[in-house]
Amino acid sequence: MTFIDTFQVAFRSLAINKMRSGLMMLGVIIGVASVILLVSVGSGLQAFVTDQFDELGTDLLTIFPGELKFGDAAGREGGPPGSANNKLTRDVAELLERRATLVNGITPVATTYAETKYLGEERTTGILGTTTNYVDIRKSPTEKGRFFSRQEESGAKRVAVLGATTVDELFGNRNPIGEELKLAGKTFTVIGIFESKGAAFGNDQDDLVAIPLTTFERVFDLDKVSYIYAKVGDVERVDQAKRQIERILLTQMDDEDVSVIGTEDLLETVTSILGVITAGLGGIAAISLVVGGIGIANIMLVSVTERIREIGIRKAVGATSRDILLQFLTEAAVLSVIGGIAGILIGVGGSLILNNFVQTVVPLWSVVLGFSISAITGITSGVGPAIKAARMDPIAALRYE
Amino acid sequence: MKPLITLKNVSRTYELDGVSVHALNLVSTTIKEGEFVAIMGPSGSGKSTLMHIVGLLDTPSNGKLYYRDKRIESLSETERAKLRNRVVGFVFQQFNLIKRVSAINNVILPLIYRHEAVADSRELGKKLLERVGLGDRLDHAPNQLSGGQQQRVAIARALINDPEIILADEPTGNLDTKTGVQIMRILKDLNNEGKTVIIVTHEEEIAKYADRVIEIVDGNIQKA
Repeated sequence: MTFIDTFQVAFRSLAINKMRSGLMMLGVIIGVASVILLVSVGSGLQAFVTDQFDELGTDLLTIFPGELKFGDAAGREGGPPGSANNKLTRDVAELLERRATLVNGITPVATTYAETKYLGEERTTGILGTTTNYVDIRKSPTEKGRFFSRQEESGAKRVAVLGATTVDELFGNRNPIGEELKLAGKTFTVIGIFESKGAAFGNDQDDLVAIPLTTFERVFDLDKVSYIYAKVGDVERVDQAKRQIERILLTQMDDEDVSVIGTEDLLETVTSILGVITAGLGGIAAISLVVGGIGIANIMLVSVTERIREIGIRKAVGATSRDILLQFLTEAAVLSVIGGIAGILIGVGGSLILNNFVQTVVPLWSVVLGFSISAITGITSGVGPAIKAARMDPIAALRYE
Repeated sequence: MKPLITLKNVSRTYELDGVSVHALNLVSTTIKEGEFVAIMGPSGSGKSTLMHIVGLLDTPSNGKLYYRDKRIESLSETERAKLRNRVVGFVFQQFNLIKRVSAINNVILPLIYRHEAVADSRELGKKLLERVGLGDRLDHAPNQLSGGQQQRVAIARALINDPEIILADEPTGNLDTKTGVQIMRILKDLNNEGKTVIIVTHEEEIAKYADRVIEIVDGNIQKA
């Protein structure tokens, strides 16, 4: 039997029972497609996170109160300014500004949520109390108007810079610059609007109001800050700067009161967590591939039993055991390869469609992995039934009813 | 005429539920080139076993088996498959066509097991189907054909590799008398063209087409 004959016989047999062949392939198709789809979502998330951190800059250090668990620190600007044992204050930031010589700029950030009101509109928004350095350090320029000045900061003026979403919600199409809004019951003048940053982790980064930290302390009667950013400027000296900051901080507080985290550390931790999640998703999908393989084995066994007579006939006219083995193996291989290719097309197509809603990336390894698992499971699950078919005694097979 | 198949003291013993069954007992006979031989006997006499051994579907437990001058009783599975493919053409009582496969593809099935490329296999199959009077039924599946037609497809299949021997196991057993006669005429014609034909039957009428009858009872040849 030539190579081409083997394929012809396999294709013909599969074409005879299209329903059965289709069902056998379905398991593989679903398996491969879900491996590719789930991995693409996970990888997309990783790519997105990396982008976000790259935007922060790799020379940025963040000082958090307490011993920080990495998982909680995914670049959020929300939550109250620290717990009871938060020892970060504006004074600490000023101390760093004076003494941390390896750092280009320092900006403390205090966060909370508060009611904002403009005419009839009312909503709860994240409030950011910070300093003028914030614009440069967090790369958050204003699109309209301006950020507050050092004078406004030292005078604790009630001026506010708004995120795009906050503007939309409160002012609609009106120009908010120069308008007055109520923030926690106090009147603030809007002086600027931030450039839009988009949403991260379902968290709208454009829904915020930034006010001078001094004003923040008075309005909310809080003297703690949520974190302090330190911009190193020189990527090469990040570690050195980190050690310097730690030394300075230890003169004021204990080791467990504070954590200094580099963007790189954060990025590494977050991507490693996301990597585990991606692998987990891929693993779950791979299980469905194995189930698809068991489906192939099962239907192949039925198919062998159904075709005992055919096997007898083929042997009687000169087929060797090897011919029969190859025929059934080829059938399994053809099914899993076609199923694998269809699964790849559906998986890649699906992730392209999904990309309209969440960022997805299809890494080559997921395609290779999905395809090889499908080919391997398909062929190995065909081995048992194929051996059973090949070993059949032709006389018994011919008599089989 | 030269001897084509020779059996010398061939025995075939099965183990069935721990009991030895002697299907054939020291059988010796010779089938010569161009003969038309009928193997007759009641059911369970061992005639099917004899045919399976001659057709290389089964192997003797003891004794010697020759194809021309060549010992073939202990050939490997692959070598026996090759001989089945080239030397023997089978015709069965149950027709044994592959279901849902067209008549022409059933006919050319043995060609793919020649393990060599065959030019114009479809043309060859078509010629043989025309020869058995089914030139207009090439693409019919077996279930679209009558019993007689199916048996003629099976004969065409048996001829595709131009074998020396046609082995027919009760070829008319599932057919009415008139159709059975047609099938026997085709086999007789093939014999007249030089093919060695061996049929297994229990019908005297069918055995009359043969030049010689081998009668077998309880695994022993009674008359050769």
